[in-house]
Amino acid sequence: MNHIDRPELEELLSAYIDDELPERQRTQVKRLVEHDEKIADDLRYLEKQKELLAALPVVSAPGDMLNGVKAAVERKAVSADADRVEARDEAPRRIYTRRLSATAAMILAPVGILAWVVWTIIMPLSNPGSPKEPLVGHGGPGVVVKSPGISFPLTASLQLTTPQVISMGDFINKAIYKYNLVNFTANISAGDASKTYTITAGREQIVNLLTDLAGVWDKCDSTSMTVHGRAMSAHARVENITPQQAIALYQVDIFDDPFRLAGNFDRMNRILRSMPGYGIIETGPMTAIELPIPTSGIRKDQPEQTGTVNNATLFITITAP
Amino acid sequence: MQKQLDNITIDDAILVRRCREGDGVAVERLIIKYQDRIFNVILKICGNKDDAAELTQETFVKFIENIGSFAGRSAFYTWLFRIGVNLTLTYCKRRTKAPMLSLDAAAGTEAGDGAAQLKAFLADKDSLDPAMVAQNREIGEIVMQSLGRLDEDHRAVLVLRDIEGMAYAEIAEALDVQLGTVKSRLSRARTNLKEILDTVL
Repeated sequence: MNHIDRPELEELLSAYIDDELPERQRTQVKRLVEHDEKIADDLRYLEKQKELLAALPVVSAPGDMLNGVKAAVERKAVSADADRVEARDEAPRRIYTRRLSATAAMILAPVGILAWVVWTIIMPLSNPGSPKEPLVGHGGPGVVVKSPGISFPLTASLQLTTPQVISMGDFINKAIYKYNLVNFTANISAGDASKTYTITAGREQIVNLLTDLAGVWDKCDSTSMTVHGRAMSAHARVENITPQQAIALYQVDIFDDPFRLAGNFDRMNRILRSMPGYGIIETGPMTAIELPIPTSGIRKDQPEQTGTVNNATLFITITAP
Repeated sequence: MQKQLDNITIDDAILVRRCREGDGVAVERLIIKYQDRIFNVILKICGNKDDAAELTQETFVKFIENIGSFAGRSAFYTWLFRIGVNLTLTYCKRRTKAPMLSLDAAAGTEAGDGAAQLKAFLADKDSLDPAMVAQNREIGEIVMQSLGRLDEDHRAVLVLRDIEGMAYAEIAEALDVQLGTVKSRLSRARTNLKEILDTVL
């Protein structure tokens, strides 16, 4: 009667107690149980073991779980790490997407590298004195800057609202000079109520600039950034963007999607701000914006920045409230 | 969107949609709704309250980060459990195994009433209510430590099935494995747990 091997029998009994067997196999198990006392004992044991586990007391989550989650999300919102989406709910599509991404990367990566090599050969050499690593220091606490990897052209608009338009404009002017962006910046000043800058330069330089701007971010009443696509209609806007998030957007490489990242940042910011009990940071009286001081004084002797990998554009608009 | 929402309860559907729109109140409601279940499952898998609390917190942080990518092809709670279980299994596999209290030593101590009661219950020699049995602290410790001796993958399927009550298809979705894998792992988990308990009792 028992020509079924042990592992197969165990699997049958296990699925039987879970009511996960088709009718034919349920009947098979019933016959086995009727004719073999040992199998009947095994089945009873499995049922008792299952009952025991199901009856274990449910332990409640700690009372401060919600607050802990809020605090952790706030920390993430100001983190420079651009987490990739890991949890997807379609496994086959995830595998397909991975394969497609890997294939695209294998094709695009060498093309990107080749394009960069050709560009650096045919364009004037960059200033050998320019820093190879982005500067950190004026960015405020928690700003971790890393060199961007293989990238693609990125265009974004940063909107800053502050009552200190003139001071903020001066700050940006100094930072542009500090990072040798003068020749890559179009400064359109519309008066004391608003200022606009258009900077087209290498991502690393823009990241440097944003790092400095982080130090005066809290002088703004509101901050937002719009990431632009090639099509006029394609864009993603991040309200209440943090400097770390803005930096992260300019560090996106070909394996990530800036629109998706911007969407995630915007969603997280909105969730945080709409959570009950979200703290309102008291800014106190507005203090004057301290202008960055170039460490080597006025750089009259520094050769002008004549050529970089110009693969990013940042529009900065400062307006009064 | 409507077809996708069919996979989840009406309440969750509304809350998920509002979460995707950035509604923090909806996020809070989902956290409050699922925090105990998530914590309980994670605790039964990792065996440590402090670790379980951190992993539960991280689960909800990831939920908030990634809610934009949840397309509704699976039940929301299955997706949420997948995040939590993945985090927990990754954590369990990385950590150094803490020295386990010897089950043999525990069985040989004076407090053997619980073990005797458990043995009788499993042998179906009495008609005790399983909830009464499971409430016994000593029995609870024996069961938890026995669970802890299982391989993480086996422990996870057993917890999801017998403690959380998930169907095989939901477990397969949560663990991202085939249905057949769930069946075989569950069978092995139960057999192994029986062997462990037999050595104790």
